[in-house]
Amino acid sequence: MTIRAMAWYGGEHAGCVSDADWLEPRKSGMEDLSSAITAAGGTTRFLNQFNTEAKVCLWAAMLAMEAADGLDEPRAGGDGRGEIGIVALGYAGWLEAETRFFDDYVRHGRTNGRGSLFVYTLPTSVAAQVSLALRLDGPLLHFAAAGDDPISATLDQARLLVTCGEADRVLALYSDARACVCWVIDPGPAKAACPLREYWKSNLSPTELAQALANLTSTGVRSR
Amino acid sequence: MSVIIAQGDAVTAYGWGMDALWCGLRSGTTAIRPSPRFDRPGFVSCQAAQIDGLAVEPGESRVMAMLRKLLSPLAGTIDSRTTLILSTTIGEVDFIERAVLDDCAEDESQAGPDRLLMRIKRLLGLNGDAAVVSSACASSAIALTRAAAMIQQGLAEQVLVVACDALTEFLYAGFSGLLSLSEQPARPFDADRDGLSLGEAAAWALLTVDSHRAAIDQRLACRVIGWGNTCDAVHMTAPDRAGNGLIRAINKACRMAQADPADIGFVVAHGTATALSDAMEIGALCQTMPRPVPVMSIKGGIGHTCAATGLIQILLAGRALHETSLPATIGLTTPDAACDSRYIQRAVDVAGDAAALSMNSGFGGVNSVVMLKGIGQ
Repeated sequence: MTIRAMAWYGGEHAGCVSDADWLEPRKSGMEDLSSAITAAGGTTRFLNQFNTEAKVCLWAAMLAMEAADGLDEPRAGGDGRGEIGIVALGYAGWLEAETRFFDDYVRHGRTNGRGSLFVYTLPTSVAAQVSLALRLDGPLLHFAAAGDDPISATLDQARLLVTCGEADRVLALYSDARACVCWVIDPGPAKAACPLREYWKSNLSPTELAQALANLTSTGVRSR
Repeated sequence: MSVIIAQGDAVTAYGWGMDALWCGLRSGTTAIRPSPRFDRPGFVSCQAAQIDGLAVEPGESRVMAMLRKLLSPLAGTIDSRTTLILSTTIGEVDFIERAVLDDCAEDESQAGPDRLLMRIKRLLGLNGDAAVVSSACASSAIALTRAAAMIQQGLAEQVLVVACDALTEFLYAGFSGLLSLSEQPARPFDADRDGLSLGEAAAWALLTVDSHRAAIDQRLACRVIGWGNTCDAVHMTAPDRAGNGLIRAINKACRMAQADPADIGFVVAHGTATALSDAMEIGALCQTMPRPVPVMSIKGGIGHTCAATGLIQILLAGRALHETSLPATIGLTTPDAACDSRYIQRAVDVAGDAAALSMNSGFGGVNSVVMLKGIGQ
């Protein structure tokens, strides 16, 4: 069971590392997310309906999957990927979406809610969009732990999904409206221990964590 | 390691406690009725299953008012190290409502489910691990599976799962805007069904390892023997019409339980009474069940209680195993032609040693299926 890869997007910086190559980021920053996603071979399914947070998460997820996929043999399942689940954490974008929906409803005279805004007011909305775009058909949930190290607790839940045989691989998404950090958890043995754990134990916001990872990889991660 | 649901309780539009829910569903009378709160010109319906006389204190949210009364008897009776999992979709969204209506950003910051989690921990005097799990209308079913997984893997001995969602203007306006609401009380699996009715509820369940010395409520205690969680990955709001995600979830639950679909004695379905969702469930059951089994939905009685519905269904299934009887689907008069006579209009006897299935689906294409057995089985 291992963190197979990580990726992040933070506006000016994007990058990914895998457990075979913790030392070097593979991607540089992307300004136009939609173009970047399609140029990288990503889906255009529903992309025009995605909000910025969903595009940020999709891009980070694509980078992380790419980093992880380069390492593994095809798995069981129709497309050789097996069942991939998503565990999301973070509330920032969700509370904004709730406020946006209700503010719109009030501004229009409290007559009827706008369905197109309402469907994005769930904690799982962003993860569901990523799941839709990448056709990930494993478990999908939002898990937010209390305590000093909520990110590690969420990664533990992602591991649990794999341990219990509920998914072959799980993406963990930590996002806000501007940044996302994505981890890929799978059951294979670790090629190298992830050297970045100390960064997500410091309770940084998604934007801060993405920036920290970008700074780190620009100078070279020392893992071994 | 076997996981049991040792105790549980709920508040619904039928009143406080599982007895009120059981008797309400057995009565065949719906708790859904026109509500003046939602009688607005723009809304497509004003039907709702709300908790009458709920005492909401100043500065308190509606879900907290439910939980305060429902959970208070638990305080001091469970181990303070018990892990807490809260399941909700919109939680204390009334703070968002107040923030927008009163233009007060301070209220908005109160709406995070992490705040609600802390309030529950304080109410119950808990100091163990705690987390919020959300997955649309499958939230509490998935929360229960996370609790069961933690116990099964030795990460926790006892987990309290709390589920809640309240009827708010936010929620009602949203579902009204999606044109999902029926103008009359919901009629799950009926040929003439035309939409859901919203309800509000809160529930809790205490899960333990079977060797744990927690008190057992013999009226509903049961074993969690399997589960399956999947995502359709087809559409943000509509289900996969082929039901593939739900079929995979049913099959996963059977595999984990090392059971065959033929072992399933009855199903408590999601049964929202929307055309597409019910049709998807009907199709999935037709494809997975080798013979017709009794299928019921609670939503004709207490409406769609969003995050709480999964846990209430599971508690009801446990009660049905104990009572060896399954209440009918309230509101069902003309079963959908595709139903194959599985969808019950009258209470039926069920075998106490059978396996029970509880199913939920939700926005984002999520599906969750939980398989249960009686405590002595």
